[in-house]
Amino acid sequence: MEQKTLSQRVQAIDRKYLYLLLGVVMIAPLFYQEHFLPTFVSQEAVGIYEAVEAVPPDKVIVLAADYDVATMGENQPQLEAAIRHIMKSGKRFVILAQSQVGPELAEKGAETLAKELHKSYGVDWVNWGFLAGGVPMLKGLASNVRSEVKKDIHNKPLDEIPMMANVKDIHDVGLWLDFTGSGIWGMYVQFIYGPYKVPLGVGCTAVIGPQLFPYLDSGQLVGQLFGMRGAAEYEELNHHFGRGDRAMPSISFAHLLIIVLIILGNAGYFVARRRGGGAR
Amino acid sequence: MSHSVVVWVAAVCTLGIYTVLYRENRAYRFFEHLFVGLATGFGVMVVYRDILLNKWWSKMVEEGAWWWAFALPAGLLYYFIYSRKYVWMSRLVIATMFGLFAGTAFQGFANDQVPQVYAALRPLWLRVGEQPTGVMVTQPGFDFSAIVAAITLFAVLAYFFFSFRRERVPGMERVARGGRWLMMIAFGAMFGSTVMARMSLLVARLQFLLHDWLGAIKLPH
Repeated sequence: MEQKTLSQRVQAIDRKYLYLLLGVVMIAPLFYQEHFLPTFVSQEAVGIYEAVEAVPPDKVIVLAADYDVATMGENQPQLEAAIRHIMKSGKRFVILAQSQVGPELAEKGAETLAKELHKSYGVDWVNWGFLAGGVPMLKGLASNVRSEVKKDIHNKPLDEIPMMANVKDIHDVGLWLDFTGSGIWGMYVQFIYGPYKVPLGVGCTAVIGPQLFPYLDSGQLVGQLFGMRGAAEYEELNHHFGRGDRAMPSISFAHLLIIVLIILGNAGYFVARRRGGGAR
Repeated sequence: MSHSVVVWVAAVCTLGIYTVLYRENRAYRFFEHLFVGLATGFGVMVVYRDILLNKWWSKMVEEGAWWWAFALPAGLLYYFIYSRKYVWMSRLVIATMFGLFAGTAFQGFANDQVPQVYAALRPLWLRVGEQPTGVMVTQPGFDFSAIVAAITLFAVLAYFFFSFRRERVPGMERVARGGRWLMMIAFGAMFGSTVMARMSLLVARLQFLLHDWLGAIKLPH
C-alpha cells in the first residue's frame, strides 16, 4: 500500500476534526473572564454613538428591530448596547419592527436594562410592535404616527401613554436606528432619510455589512455597527464589558485558525501538484 | 444548570441541529422539520393577528372604516390565477399593485442612488478647510481615498461597458481586467465578512449553551 505524503494527509483531514478544533478554539476563550484582547473602535461605531448624543431632548429615537432569532446572535448585542447608551444618556426611544419577532426580542432586552438603570415603560420607552405594510406603512407613519399605530405591543392605546403625548410624526424623531440581517435598511434610506433627512444608522450582520460602506461615504448613514464587532465596539464606547466584547476573542481565534487552515490547505495542494499528484 | 423548561428545549434543539456537523442523521432531520413547522405556524398566526385582525377587521368593526370591506374581494381576485378561464381577473389586481409599486420604486431609487452619484464625484485635490470625512484638512494635497475610489469606479465601469469592442481602444482591455480584479478583491472582503457572521452566530449559541443552559461561564448582560 502506498504511503501518503504529508501534503496529501493535510488535504485529506476529515472535516469532523476541523469542526472539533474550531469548537475548542471558540469555547476556550469564553471561560476567560477578563478583557484580554483590545477592541479598536471604528469611526462607523463612533458615528452611531455621537448621533445618539446629538438627539435633542424633545425628540425620540426610533429603534427598528428588524431581525429575528436567526440573526439575534449579532443584532441583539448591538441593540442592547444602543439601548444602554440611550437609557444612560436620559433619552427616550420607540421600538418598532417590520419583522414579527423583533419587537419581543427588543422588549426583552429593554426590560432587563430598565431594571438595572431604573427606567420605566411608557416614560422612557414605548414599543409599537410589529408594523406590516412596508413602504405605504412608513409613509403613513411619517405623516401621522397614529394613522398606523393605534395601540402599543401591550395593547394600550398610544394616547394613554405619557411619552407619546408629543410624538405625532416624523418631525418628532431625532434619530432612526435599524438593526437587521436583511436589506430592509434600504427602505429607510429611501423613505426616511431621503425625504425627511432624519439621521439614520444601521446595526447589521457582518454578511450585509460591506454593502453599507458607500452609504456611509455619501452621508446617507451616520454610522454602522458591523456584526458582533460593532456590538463590541459600542460596548467599549459605553465602558461596559458585555456579550459582544466577550464573544470577540472566540471570533478572533476562529479567524486565526481558518487563516492557518487555508494556508495549510493551499500549501498542501501546491506541494502535491509540484510532485505531480494530489487533488485538482 | 438551568431549571427552565424553555431553556432546556432550546438547548436540546440547538444540539440536535448541530449533530449534522458529525453527519446527516435522523435527529437533525427531525429538528430541521420542527423548526420549519414552527416558523410556518408562527407566520400564519402573525398574518392573522397583525394584518387581518389589526389592519383590516378592527378598522372596519372598531373604527367604522367600512370601505376596507372592498379589500376582501380585491384581494381574493389574486386566487383567479389558478383558473385558466378567469385568470384575466387576477391580472387586474396584479397590474394595479404593479403600477403602484413601480411609482414608489422610482421615488425610492432616486432617494437611494442620486446621493451615491454625488458622493462618487469627489474632488481629488483637497484644500485647507475642507472636511471630506468629517476631519478638517490642514494641509493641501491629494485625497488618496478619493483617487482609489475614482480609479475603481472607472475600471469597474470599463469592465461593464459592452457597447463596443474594448480591444479597439488602446489600454481599455487592461483597465477592464483591472476592474475585474478590484471586484474580486471586494467579493473576497465580503466573503470574509460572511465568515465572521457565521462565527458570530456560532459563538452566540455557545454563549447560550455554556451560560444560559449549563451555567458554566459568567456573562454580563
